[in-house]
Amino acid sequence: MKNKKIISILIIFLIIAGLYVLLQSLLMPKYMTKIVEGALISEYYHEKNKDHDVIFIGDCEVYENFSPITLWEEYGITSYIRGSAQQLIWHSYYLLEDTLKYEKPDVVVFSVLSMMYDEPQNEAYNRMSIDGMPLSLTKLRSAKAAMMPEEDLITYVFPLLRYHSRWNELSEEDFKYWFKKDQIAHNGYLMRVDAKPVDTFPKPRALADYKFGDICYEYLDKMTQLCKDNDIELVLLKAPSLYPHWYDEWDEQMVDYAAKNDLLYINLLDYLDEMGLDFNTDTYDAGLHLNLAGAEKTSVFFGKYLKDNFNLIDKRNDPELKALWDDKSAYYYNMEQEQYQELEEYGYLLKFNLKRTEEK
Amino acid sequence: MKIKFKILTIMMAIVLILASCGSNNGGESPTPTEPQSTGNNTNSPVTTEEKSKYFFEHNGISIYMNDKAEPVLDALGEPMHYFESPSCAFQGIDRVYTYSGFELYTYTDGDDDTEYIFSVVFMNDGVETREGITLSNKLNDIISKYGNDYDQKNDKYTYTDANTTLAFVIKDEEVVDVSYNLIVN
Repeated sequence: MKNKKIISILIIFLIIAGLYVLLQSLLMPKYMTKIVEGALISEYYHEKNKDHDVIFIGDCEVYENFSPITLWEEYGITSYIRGSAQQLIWHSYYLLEDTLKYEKPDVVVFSVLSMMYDEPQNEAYNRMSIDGMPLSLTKLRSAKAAMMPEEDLITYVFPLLRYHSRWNELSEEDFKYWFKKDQIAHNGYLMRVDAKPVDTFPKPRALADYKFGDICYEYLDKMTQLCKDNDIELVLLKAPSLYPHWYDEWDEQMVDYAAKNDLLYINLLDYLDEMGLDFNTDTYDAGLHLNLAGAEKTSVFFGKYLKDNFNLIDKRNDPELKALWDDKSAYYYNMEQEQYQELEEYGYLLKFNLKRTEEK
Repeated sequence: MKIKFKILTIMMAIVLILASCGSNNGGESPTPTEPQSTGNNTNSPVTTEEKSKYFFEHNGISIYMNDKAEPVLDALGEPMHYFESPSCAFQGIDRVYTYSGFELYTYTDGDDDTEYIFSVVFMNDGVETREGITLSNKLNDIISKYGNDYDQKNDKYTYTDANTTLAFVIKDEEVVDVSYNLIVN
């Protein structure tokens, strides 16, 4: 009789938990159209083979500007971009810590643009960088470091407590992707083939203080130490995006930091000609981010840099890896073709412009 | 049968309570629909109707922060340059209109295409504040016009009123940056 009661309670508990999970997955944003960047973080955990030579960490300056497929095809380098929109350095650190639970890459490449932000900026960006991580102490530490004053840590444990008010915003997308989402990226690379040439930029503002914040250096130190503890080479990277302006004073600080900590720092803005970037054709938003053509050029250059500086083995002859990356390449080229077709048919990319799609 | 129904009802109630008792943070879900620049403005603007005593005036046109941009842009005429900065993930767009001597920054809120003014930045000494301060002035000039009620952070001196800050950056004893800015969270 007692056993029966316990079993009944267990069943009730499981049903409640199941209902909770169902409701939560319905109400959480799916990020399958328009703001697809929000789906990047969780995609990594569905990756079958989490064994990469290189892990990129950072904001849009990595997930828009580098193509792991090109790195594979040109150099046999396996890589993954753990990028998210407006990823700040504390997000980056904890994402790296989390990634190292699954794999030990040879090289970690960190995009240093986020050094310009020394305080949390916006809950929505926190959500896009943190919600996709599996529940762990690392995730909670990341949330604690990133939260805006009005946020509650408990909502990162039980996101339903934060998203329940979305019930009246639910759209067709929420039901369509309730149980299974599409793959939107290519090992973390977010593809766009459209082009919008550079015209002009606002004049760079004089800043009151060019020194990066202490908190940024604190996390950069932690990242450096984490890599050293795991025998991983850390590379500091400024991607070749022309805006926001990368000040010389910021560049000098990164040069100094790299020298003091025996790291490599490369500012790709210094190699625009060598990469062959043409900002009339290789950017989709007038110089902020590269399009596919630009990302591939950057990856060809940066792949050689990685090859020249680190002992990365060309793995293209490994049959298992070859099969895996052949599948990835097929998906990549298929998406490229689809995007060109959309451009021809509509003049813009459907996935990145829901408003226009709705008007259509 | 009745017992089973009761249990199911209780379970549903628990789930709904769990879902509704959590933090609401003002009732808005954090689905990102607000503007977020990849540039220098990094926070969501606060909307307030109170007019600030700090506003920029150019050719008789008064430019207040967070005002709708359209009438101001119409009055200012064709800009010398135009730049737009879509964010990494949001649909809002920050736009920069360059006129002789200053840049006017606007933002849009989510999917709403209406532009609002969030900053005016001086580019040269061809323009000045209504109180007569411009680039290359000295700190004493600023204090003589605006007083000592400023916040100082490194080389930046900021005066605040209502929804606007008027900020001066000083290097080598000269003003190198003047800007009116919408106060953000």
